[in-house]
Amino acid sequence: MNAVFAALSLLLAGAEPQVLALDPAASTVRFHVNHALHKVDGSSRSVEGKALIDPDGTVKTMVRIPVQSFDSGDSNRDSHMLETLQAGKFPYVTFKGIGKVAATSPGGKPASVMLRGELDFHGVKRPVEVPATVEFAGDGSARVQGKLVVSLEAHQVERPSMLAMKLDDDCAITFDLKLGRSK
Amino acid sequence: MTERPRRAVPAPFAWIALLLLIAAPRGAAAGLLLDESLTLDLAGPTPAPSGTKPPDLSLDFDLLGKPAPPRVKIDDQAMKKRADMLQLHQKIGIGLAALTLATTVVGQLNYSDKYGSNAPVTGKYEATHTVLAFTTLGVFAVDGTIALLAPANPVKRDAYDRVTVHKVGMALATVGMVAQGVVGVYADQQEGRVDQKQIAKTHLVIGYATLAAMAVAVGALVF
Repeated sequence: MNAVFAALSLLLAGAEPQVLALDPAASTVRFHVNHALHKVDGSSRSVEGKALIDPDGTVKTMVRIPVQSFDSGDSNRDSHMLETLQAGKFPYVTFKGIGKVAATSPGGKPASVMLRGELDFHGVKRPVEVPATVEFAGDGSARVQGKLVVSLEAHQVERPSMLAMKLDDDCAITFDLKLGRSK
Repeated sequence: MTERPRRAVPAPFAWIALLLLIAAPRGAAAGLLLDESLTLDLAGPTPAPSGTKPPDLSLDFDLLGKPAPPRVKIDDQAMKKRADMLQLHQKIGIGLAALTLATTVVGQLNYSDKYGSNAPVTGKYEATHTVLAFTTLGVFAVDGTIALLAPANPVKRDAYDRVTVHKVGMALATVGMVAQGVVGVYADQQEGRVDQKQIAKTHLVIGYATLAAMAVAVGALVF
């Protein structure tokens, strides 16, 4: 019980909204797509994001990733991805969401949060629900992990094909984000 | 008026009651009941106290401000042109792989016909091999030129990847193709000479090496 109060007091101290900023060096967003001949994994370590936690536990979050920062380990494939996603016109993938987070004891069981919001991908904004877990540390930092599946066609992405076979429509995105108190 | 005598609790019952109260479980103690109500659940719906503003659930917020300009400027038109040219390169490449395989197979049959046994030379594969060889050489040149003229990849990385393997493989295949052309024509000119068989054998070996280099280059992208 004391630990819960300690975390709460850290987060909600002074009943002022707390701002947590994402640490890009300690955060990763990965994507996974399937083709009949390949399973492709890529990641970005150039993620920027912030979370605003209100005293009542309401959390507003915004995460932005430059499309050209995704690296699948194959520069040619990455250049095709930039072409497919029209990275010149739509250089960022942006997520904005709102949820309600429960305080957890530092080092304790992560709290679940459902972030409801909108994903702006390829210039198409779609509503999205992102289940995530939040783990608060004693210093007020938080680790957020989760997964969502994005339909490429829903975002009007023309699926690339290889040897006359198209890429699967589902793009699985997993994230592991470290947030610290904003200075 | 006579006063009614007060009924005193017998002393043993009072002591038993006191002992039971002390031994009772913690939760039953009236003074500690509040402890159970201190559990907070921020995840659940929390009714806003009267007079307070309900939480703002609008997505009309921007926590990050204007983004920094991208590290590399991407020209979508150039990227489209690059993709179209490389798609064409890929399609021609599939045909080229088939042509190279056919040229090698027919070249082997031609070599076996000429030098494989003591049976009379029929020469029935020679024309086919020549046509296939020059067609392969021409398609190879066109396909390579398309790839070389495609706009450059704006996200070049230092890492060694599949495309590097493809390029190294195709560079070796290019050397093989040129050598094939030279040695093949030279072998043809040595008709009737003693060393023609050796030259033809060299041509054959280079042919297999070229095919292997192409197989590695194509395989690196496909698998």
